Amino acid sequence: MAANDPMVVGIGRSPYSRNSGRTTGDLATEACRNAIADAGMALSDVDGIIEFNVGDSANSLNVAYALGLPGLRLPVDLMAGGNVVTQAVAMACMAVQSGRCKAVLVFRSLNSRSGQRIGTYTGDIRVGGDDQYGAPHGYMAPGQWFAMWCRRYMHEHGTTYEDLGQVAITTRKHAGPNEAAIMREPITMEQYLASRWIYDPFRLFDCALEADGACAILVTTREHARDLKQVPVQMLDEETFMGRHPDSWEDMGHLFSAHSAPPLWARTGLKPADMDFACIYDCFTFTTVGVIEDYGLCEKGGAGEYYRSGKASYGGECVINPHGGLLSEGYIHGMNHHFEAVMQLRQQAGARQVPDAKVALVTAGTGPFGGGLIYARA
Amino acid sequence: MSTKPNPPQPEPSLDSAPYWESLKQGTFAIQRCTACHQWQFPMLGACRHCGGTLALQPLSGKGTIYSFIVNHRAAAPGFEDLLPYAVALVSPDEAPKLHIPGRIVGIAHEDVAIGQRVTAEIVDHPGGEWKVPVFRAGPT
Ligand SMILES: [Zn+2]
Repeated sequence: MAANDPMVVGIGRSPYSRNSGRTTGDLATEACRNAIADAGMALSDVDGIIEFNVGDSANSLNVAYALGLPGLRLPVDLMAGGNVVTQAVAMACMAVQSGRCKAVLVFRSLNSRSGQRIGTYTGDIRVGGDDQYGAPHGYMAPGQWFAMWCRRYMHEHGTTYEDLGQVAITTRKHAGPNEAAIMREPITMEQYLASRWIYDPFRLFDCALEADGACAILVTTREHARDLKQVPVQMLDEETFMGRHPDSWEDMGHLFSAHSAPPLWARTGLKPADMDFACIYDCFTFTTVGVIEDYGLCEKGGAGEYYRSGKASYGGECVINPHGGLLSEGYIHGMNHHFEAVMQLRQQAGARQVPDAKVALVTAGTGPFGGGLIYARA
Repeated sequence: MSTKPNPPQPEPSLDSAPYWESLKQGTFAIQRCTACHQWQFPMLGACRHCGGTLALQPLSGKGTIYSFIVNHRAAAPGFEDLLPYAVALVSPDEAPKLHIPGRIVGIAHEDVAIGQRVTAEIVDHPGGEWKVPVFRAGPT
């Protein structure tokens, strides 16, 4: 235990919706202001902001300005997607641990439903970079890359459509009591199987729920956390592994998580069975399947049965995505997973509280790029 | 004049321009290192294995489906008439660890499978002067 251990001391968000009618800058500012107020920290103590963006978000300096701050000692704008969330949080932790910053906000803001929809293109377009080879075949959207991964994964590990469906059904069930979730109506396997194809093997219910909103967390040290309002949540450790474009990965039977999980378990001395719950980045049902198998919550090829037998839910082994995840709470690009983890670890999750939750795994990303971290009630 | 939107056009870089020019001339070729002889896709400025000089070298066009999807939704304009259709990542025989994306032709999308043998064909790409490789099922 050290005075400079990194702690999440505040969480904030805007309402999540399908049509915010607001700018991403305004949403980001609200989420950040709420996180600071939740912590009970003086606004002027915030000296770092990290955000990530694919398409829309809000620039760190613009948000600092909108918050009334004169400037920042650490403005970071990552041109990246949900694969970098745990890395961004780890960077904030390093910044406070090293003493470079006193308190750092990490946020994501997007109008991913009403504004710029990721993976949706209109008009005559020219495509360069990695996607110039696939785009002339109408193959250029993240949902297509990871459907490609999913098919290969199913081939190698025996995962079935029904296994993917189990993830969709349980995740939706978890969203039921969550007032912030956009989709709360339960779904059945029949409804899942009848939902329309998007990119086979993905149906509609395999895909994240595009949403508008912003979410932020505030990080500082154990020492500074002492004077604040909330029970702090410690970020124990983080491990990221990133490869390049999804098509270039040689072995689609193993995701980034096959690389990022072992060092995280080794360094923390923790094991999958120690996790009271997990917030798994679930841009697609397949991502949850591959990631929980790589992190060892269940064996390779066993995710469907893990869900089917109730182990991924209340009364089971490890509640996965108690908020409903990106699939049902909404696609706040994985920042909402951190909000949920902190709420649960503070025992503030109300009707969906995981009893006596002390330790949690939170992941980010899918395919060739992502990471994971462990939070613990301090 | 057609009012249909055109499918996305490639925007070559200095590294990839020779690949696209070669397709225009009717040759499906990817990069191969002149020093260590490793094949490379997508196109780069130098060999990622040894930093050596790359040269385009024709492929036989024969390969195996590593994975595939069936598009029921068009990610971009210009494909509405084709839906649903299969796109695969193909491992060329010469470089089985590489994955080259392309449409699968000559077979119903329901019959596409991992491990299936395919042969590349070069076809005109609507909306411009480019040609692209597609993959025809067979011979086995
Ligand atoms: Zn070489």
